[in-house]
Amino acid sequence: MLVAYAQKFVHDEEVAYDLVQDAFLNLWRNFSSLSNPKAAKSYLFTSVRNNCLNHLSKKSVRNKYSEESLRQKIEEINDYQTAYSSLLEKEIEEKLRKAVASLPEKYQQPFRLSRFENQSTKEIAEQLDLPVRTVETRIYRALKQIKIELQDYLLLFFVHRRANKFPSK
Amino acid sequence: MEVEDKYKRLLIGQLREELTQKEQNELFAWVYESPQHKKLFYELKDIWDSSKIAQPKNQDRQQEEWAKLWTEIEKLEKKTDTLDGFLWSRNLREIYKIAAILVVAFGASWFLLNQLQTDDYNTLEVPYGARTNITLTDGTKIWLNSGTTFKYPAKLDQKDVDVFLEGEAFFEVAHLKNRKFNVKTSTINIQVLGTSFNVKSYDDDDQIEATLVNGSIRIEGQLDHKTIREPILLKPNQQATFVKGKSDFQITRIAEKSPQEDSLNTQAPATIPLESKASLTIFEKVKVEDYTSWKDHVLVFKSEPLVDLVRQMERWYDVKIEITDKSLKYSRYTGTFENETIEQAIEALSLSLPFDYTIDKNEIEILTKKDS
Repeated sequence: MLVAYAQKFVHDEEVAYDLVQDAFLNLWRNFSSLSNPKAAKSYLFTSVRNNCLNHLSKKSVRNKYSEESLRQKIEEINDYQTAYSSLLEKEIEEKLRKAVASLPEKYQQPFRLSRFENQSTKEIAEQLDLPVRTVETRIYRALKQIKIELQDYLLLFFVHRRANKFPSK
Repeated sequence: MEVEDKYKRLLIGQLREELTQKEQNELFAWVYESPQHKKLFYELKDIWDSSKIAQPKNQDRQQEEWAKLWTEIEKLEKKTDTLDGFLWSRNLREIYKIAAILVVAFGASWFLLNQLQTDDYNTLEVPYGARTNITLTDGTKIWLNSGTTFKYPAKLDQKDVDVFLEGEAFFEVAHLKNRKFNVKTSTINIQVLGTSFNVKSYDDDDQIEATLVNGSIRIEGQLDHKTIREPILLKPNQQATFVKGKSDFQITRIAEKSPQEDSLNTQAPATIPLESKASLTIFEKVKVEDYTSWKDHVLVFKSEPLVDLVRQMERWYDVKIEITDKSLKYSRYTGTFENETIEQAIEALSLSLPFDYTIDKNEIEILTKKDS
């Protein structure tokens, strides 16, 4: 789960695994200073985010990404630091799995091939004997469909932030 | 919201990371064009990213990772075990004896001892154009502004905590009994109990500011090698401003910072004893929001000279700005930027001050306004 989370921000799967390892080790080291065991989860997510940010700020890594996509990735991490929280943080694995499984076959198939088999849209188009555009539209539809299913959980803001930030005059 | 087919395609391409640079730029231009686009993109991306867990599990890989983790942890435990056992099972004299033997036996053991003491620090560098925040394990929250370097201990225990800052940060320090939390910058040190405050201390700025929102903080330190003899205690809504590199000036307390507000509190300037002259001003009542709003992605300027403003915009937007017309340098500007792009921000500035400007990629030049 955390690996999937890290992969939001760093595309490379191996790097994602490493960053998550580091997060777990950090947790182990600091376990005694955690005020409450429940905080471990949010600690891990925060730690993974920070590790990703550190990773992206390394020079050698910077060169791998285009300036624009790097900027976008950093902005995305920042948004998750401050405002958004991912589906992954909400313990709705089961719901997510169901949403994928209940997709109509014609959307589900291209989505699975693209997401899990890592096939390019072109390969999928050939395999299913469909135009590339149709494959793309169907993957898009699949995402839209899941979005409707999970609407209640998407990108919820941490609402408490603004409430008591500044003392009243 | 209906999305053009073109962008649907780009979006899917981006998720699969198949886009060319040009296509990426096109997509992101669209994404950041409106909050709705951005939200849609983030949501679909999050679904895509999260759906990984719906994948038939790669059990082997998971077990492999857990095994790797346990070996790492064991290594870690051995290291601390031997250290703990070493320190706790013997009394101090014995440790000295052993240390002495070690030093004699292997000169290199100093290296070892040092290594054991310099515990891990994490360093977070926030590039220009970015902002971030982190939560430490004790619950302390820290927002970091663009171009900031922040160093903090990887491990927080009951002992006092020292963190190091170059740049700007807003702190919400968790209150723990009998623990001191120290923020160190190249010039000042700030000691806190539980409190929220903002520190702005960029090495390339002339001025250092500490603004207190609530709680209390104690500032000590050095200004141009002159030590502040007595620590300064700040109360909520007070701001301490230090100006670097001036040879002659006074230390004052000023009731209101912004001249346009009614002056209710007319205290006489109080002098802070310094060993030697150094610039330090305590503002009794500042509008703290103006100094902390950056963490909510809002840039606020209150009657700020263009030179200072330009420095902040360079960090905020990751651009280079040159003021060619020197006479403009100290023109003052009041305003707020929230979601504006650099182009919109500079356009707004140019109308109000006014001036002409040119933009070439990330470089902006501010020119004298031609007669119109």
